[in-house]
Amino acid sequence: MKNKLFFLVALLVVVVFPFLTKSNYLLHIGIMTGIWIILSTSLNLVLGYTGQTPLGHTAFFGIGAFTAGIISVRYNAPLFVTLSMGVVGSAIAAYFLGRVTLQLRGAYFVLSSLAFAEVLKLVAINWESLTGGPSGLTGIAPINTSIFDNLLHPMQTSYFLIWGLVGLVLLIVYRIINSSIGRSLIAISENEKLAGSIGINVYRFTIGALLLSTGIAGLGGAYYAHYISFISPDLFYMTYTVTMLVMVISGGRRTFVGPIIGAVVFTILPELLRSAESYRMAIYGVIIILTITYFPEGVFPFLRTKLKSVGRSQ
Amino acid sequence: MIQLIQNIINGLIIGGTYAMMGIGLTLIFGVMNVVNFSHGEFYMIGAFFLFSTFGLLQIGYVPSIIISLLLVAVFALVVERFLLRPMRDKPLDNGMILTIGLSILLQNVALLIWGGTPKNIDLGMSMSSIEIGSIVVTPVRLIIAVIAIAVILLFGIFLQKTKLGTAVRATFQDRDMASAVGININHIYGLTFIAGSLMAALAGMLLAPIYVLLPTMGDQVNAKAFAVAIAGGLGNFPGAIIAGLLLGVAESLGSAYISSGYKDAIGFVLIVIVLVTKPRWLTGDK
Amino acid sequence: MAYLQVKDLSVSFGGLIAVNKVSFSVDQGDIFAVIGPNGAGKTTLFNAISGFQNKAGVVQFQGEDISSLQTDQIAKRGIVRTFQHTTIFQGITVKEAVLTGTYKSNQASIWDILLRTKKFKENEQRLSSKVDQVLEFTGITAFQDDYGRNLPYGAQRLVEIAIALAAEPVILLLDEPAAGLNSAEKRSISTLIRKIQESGVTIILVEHDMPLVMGLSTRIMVVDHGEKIAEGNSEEIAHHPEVIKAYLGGAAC
Repeated sequence: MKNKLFFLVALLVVVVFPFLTKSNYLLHIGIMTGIWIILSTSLNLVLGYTGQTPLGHTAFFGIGAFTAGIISVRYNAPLFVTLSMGVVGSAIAAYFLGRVTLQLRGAYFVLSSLAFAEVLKLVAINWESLTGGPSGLTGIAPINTSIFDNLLHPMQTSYFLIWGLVGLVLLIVYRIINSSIGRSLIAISENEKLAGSIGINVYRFTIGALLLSTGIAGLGGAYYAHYISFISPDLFYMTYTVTMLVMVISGGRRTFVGPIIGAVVFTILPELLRSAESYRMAIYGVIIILTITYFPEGVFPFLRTKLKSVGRSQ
Repeated sequence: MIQLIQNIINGLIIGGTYAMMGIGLTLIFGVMNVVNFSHGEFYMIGAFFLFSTFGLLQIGYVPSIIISLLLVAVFALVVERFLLRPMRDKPLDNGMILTIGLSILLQNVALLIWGGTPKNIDLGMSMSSIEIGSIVVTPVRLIIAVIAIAVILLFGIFLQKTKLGTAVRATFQDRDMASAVGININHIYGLTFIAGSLMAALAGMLLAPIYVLLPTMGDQVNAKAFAVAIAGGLGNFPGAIIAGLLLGVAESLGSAYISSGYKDAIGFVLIVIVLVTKPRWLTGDK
Repeated sequence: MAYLQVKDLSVSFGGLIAVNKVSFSVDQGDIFAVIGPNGAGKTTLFNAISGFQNKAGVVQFQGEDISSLQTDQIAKRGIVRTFQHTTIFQGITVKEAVLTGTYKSNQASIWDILLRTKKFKENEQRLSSKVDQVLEFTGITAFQDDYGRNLPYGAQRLVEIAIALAAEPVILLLDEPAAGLNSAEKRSISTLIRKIQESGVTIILVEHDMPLVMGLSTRIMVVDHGEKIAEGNSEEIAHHPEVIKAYLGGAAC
């Protein structure tokens, strides 16, 4: 009951927000929040549900963006094609990477994933004819669906598109993790040997989770390419992965709501810190340190147990 | 041919500092199970502390290095005691996130203190090269190489021959067992983090006179330290030394004969090769 | 034909032979115990049968050669094991952990899951009532909402068995289920093992507690230094001279 209420309020806020403000800056933050929810949810599938830490996860954001961007610029393909290709491109890359790296554990997986993103970054910088090199790829078709032209201005269209995608992604992820698939993944992240001994094919589930996760990240990247209509090798920088990690871990690994909370907080927080100017990034670092020290499991699981204990004492 | 040897020697000199970075990272990972993303920042603060002590105190290069190392040691101790200790027994990711936060903090505090304009340290040492046969080496680079080799050797002797070194190695292999035989784990962890961080800081100080100093200088170097540590096998000291030297030579040859654009990719290519060929120490669970 | 037939099973690590050409067969409905001193190769034998360990030799289940199958494929045929050191899912509740164990009897496809079809809901309900049954059967219903890591040791061992039972085994391999339990707990685990057998599950048991083994087992196999040295019912084993020499040390009985 309470969950339904939360959901309806959240839905209302998301739908009404773009009509309450004329500011493109606020709409932009709304859109970026949506993108980050997609990315943190994507990362959580690997981090929370397979027990692996993909430090190069932004590679798939980047692959999605470049796949969509290149197809858009070269073939002028419609949006639904480029978005789908972003998903497929990322998942294919993940499949080949997964075949090599999923046999690795712990720190080796972490670092090999990082190496993957770094190599892609260098390829994006140096393969100028394909990627536009260090100066990036321009001229990607902006999000512009003429059907809604009379109803919504372009920023509003972009806004509703990303939140539609957020809804789709969250629905799929929610249903997957609350099912035998999700249970099996949790079993694997808890104890691989035991999972195998009750009949779970560890490799199949892990690579499945990786494909879903990277496909979602690719979707986020493809959308981003069209929204900004310019992409550069910067997308492969570790900062993007770090931001996703901070969102997921501070929100709560292996929870559905945690990464969403993390994404909302850590998209809006740096904007609020803008007034602190040169201290901004230092404060950001302090917040990360404090969050991981005082909420090692994440804020959402902390709040959940707090709420439960309040409920019990009443 | 001469050119080739020259490139190899240049590579080995830089490789020595990579090896130092890699040893520090591998030590901290092996003993404390922390993937330390602020390792590059210790390299950076090492260089900047030296810049400030050298510039302000005017006491010469070597005393400045000693004072700076002491400062870094104190700082590392504080970090271990107050930030890393709560991360013990938590998942690997928690320590990683913490050091990422620390790395962001340090970079930006450095930016506030020293600003974003590149700095350099002028030793006033003659830049005229020493010629050995047809091989040309500047005195600064020669000093770097000598100190790097000496530090690595001393560290090896410390680990192998001293009681404290034995305790560190014991903790490395089995923390619970080490604790059971009366080794004070808190001391070993503190010592390990200080030693590992000093390795990074000293590498930064050694390279400071030949590179420019920037608050973000740790990023690239950290990536290389990871490449060295992973290619050498995490927790493997001889492996880190060999991988560090190899990386230095590979980069030097790579930028001379292939393309300087891909120079920084070489470390990652090294990782990829290691991961694909899967040597025995990598695939085993232990 | 034997239910489970093991022929010339050998396992070696490097140059060391941990299990050397062990053969035995287990009949349906039996409790088959494997005993032997520490380091005799009992757990390695379990690892080999359940697919965790590369091996030489043949393992046949109902006439089918299962020696080259992966762990999960072996589990799918109904051969499920527990581990020597308590192995449960620590970070989820007991009920969730046992629900995870029902993986094999899940019938909902990915489309059922994504579209939340009627089949999905029925399936979830079926699994959930299955879990309630298993919790009841093993006597841990009271712990169902507790996290695995917060449970007392004895209860953790029961959860371990409950997870295995949720996987609907036809052969259950129990690796030292009574290790570390007090005598009251030992009695109840002994009753539980008997109950599992009576429900139609064949059991292979590695255990150190001799009274427990003697009281439960239909047949007993003794291994030492990786070799089988004797096999028989409890009466025969208790009086077997080789066994007394190798394992019981002559004084234990």
